[in-house]
Amino acid sequence: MDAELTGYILYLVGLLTFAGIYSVMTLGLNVHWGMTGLFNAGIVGFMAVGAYASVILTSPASPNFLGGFGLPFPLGPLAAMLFSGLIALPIGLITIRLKSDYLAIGTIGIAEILRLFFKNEQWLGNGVRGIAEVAQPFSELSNVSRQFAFLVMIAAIVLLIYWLLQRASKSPWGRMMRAIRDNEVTAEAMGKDVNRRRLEAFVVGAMLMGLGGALYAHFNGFIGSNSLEPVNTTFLVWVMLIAGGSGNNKGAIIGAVVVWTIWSLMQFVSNYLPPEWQIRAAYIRFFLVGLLLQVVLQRFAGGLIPERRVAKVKRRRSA
Amino acid sequence: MFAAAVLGGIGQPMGALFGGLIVGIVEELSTFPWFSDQALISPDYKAAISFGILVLLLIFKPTGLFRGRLL
Repeated sequence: MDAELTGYILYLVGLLTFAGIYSVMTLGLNVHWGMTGLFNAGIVGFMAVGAYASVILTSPASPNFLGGFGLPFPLGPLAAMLFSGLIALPIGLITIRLKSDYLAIGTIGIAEILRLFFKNEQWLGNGVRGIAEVAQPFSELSNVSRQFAFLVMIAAIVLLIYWLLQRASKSPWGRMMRAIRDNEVTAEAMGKDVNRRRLEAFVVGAMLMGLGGALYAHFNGFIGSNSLEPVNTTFLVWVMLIAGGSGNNKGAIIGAVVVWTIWSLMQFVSNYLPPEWQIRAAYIRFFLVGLLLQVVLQRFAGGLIPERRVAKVKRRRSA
Repeated sequence: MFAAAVLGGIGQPMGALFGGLIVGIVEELSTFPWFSDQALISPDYKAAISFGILVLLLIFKPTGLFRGRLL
């Protein structure tokens, strides 16, 4: 195998790994928006909490940031889920009563506060310089097999989460969630504790976003405040979910893979452009992803794989 | 900006006026060295303050100060 081919294969593996990491976050957003109808626009906040929690707990001691707990790798992402769940609980308790759009405003605000916190607290995460001493899993393997091992691990995690969420959405709990999403008043009249159920979904989704953030940090090998731009996470994850089909777990994964592939291939294309165009090409990305969102919303309103209705009601043509 | 509009009450011109004034003044005053040589709250957190006002407001007084549209 020559070096060029290996390079392409490694690029593909890295691309799929990132797509898998984004799938985890998109599945988390699907619990919020697709199942329960919570308009969470603060994904980056939960992701940051998960990423920093996992990195700090697994990294060796350093004078630049809080560290030295040196836990083994698998405990890091688990702790990330725990921490983002614990952060989401009080946030959910105070904001869950807000109606959809205002929940979005509230979560944007909270995510910005969290982001500023990680950016400015030097002792915690080395501020703007970020943490580069991130514990890398499978570090005993060679570079190529390490990448493959990471991809296999991510794929296993995505499949496990998919299976669990699929079970959850088919269970009575999932049906209740959809009832709350489609008509809150009716669900309440049926004796469901709407705010409590919404809080449950909020915490579960936030835990998945935290897990995604932790995996992102460990795969990237670096976490800093510039990797926590809302445009790269909140916005991208929303496009992934809407493009793939909200309310459908399979759609969330497909959406993440498709949008991430387009997103990274654009960088490939821009390398062939003349230098004075390359800087603009970085912004064309945002434009094209926005365009993709428009096309999907116009042509396939339900996303690439729309949500399947459990029982179809025959539509009568009204005059 | 959002914070200012919500603070005054959405759909109220007077609300927008006073909301903006209050948010701006609170943001600046929060970084003034009131008790010691240090700023009360680090200026890095200026943006966090307006978002904090916004979140508190959405929770405690969703109609804003001037009885705007209910959210």
